[in-house]
Amino acid sequence: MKNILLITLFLFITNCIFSQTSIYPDSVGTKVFYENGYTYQAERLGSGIIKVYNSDNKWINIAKIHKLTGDFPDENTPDLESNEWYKQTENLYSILEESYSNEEKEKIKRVGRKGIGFVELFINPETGKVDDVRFSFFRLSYYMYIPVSKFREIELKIKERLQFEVTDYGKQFNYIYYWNDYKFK
Amino acid sequence: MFGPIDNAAYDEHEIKFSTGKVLGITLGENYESNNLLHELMHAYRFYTEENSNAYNSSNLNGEIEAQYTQLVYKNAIKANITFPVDPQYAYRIEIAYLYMFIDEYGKLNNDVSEIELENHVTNIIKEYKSSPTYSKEKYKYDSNRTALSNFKNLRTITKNCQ
Repeated sequence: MKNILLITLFLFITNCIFSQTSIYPDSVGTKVFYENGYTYQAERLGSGIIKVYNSDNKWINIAKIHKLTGDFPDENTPDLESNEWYKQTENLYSILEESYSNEEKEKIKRVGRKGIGFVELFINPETGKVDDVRFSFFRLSYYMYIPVSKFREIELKIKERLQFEVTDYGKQFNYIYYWNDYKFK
Repeated sequence: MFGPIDNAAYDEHEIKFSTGKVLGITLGENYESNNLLHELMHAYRFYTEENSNAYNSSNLNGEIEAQYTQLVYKNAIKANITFPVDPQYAYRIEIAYLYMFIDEYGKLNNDVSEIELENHVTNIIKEYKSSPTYSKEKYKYDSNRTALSNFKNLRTITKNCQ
């Protein structure tokens, strides 16, 4: 009898743990989130990668090209000044660290694939400010349970606080693309 | 990457092959150990393929493995990228996503299906093809191979590392 009670209790607890439903699509497709004053969307790819971003964006899914010639950029010529790039990467990490609670960070670290998250930045070549931000993660990660409002909060901080220095070469393009992966310490 | 590239930021890097053997690897002075590892992966693969034709018809398969191995190495030694050129292209994030699918030893991660890996490699190929350095003649993808088989050399060289 005691064993039956223990098994029942175990099944109940297990069910509670795994019944938390993910916010983002469970199958391939796009889900739109109409929030207070902004709209976000999440695309799930056949690979299980989920990409989350503001629906009101300028550059996402648009090719990076030379503004006059339409040519693609040379891969090995930097479009951002390296010293400022390092500083802004540190700023990006600071924003990410401060935006998640300790509990969220612990869960992100423990669940799924080593807690890796990705941030893509689409930078305005004239101002060095960030025009668009896209977040991505894997279907097995805890990011599946992070609300859209958190990504929106981070997006706003990035747009407000990051300031890149664009090289003369970079200024010739419609936008500057930069991505980073990160893991919490 | 094959053949010299002409630009101010990086010196040339090149790997030369002859019939049945690797003649040598040239790296410019701005290159680092991770770049050498990348070229060594190509050299190693050259010896694991049946013949030159098999090698040449799967250059993109080999490039994906070499890029991923390079990234694993860079992460292992916690190397900073020394110049802000690496993150410019979308195919590089696709390579970094590979961590979700395969581990540092080239094996499929638990709970990940081979179909997901196949889908992801399809995305990588798509991004490579839209990259300015992509050459249809040089970077042929052999789609008769499974996505997981692209990492067989990584599995071999890390066999005693686990």
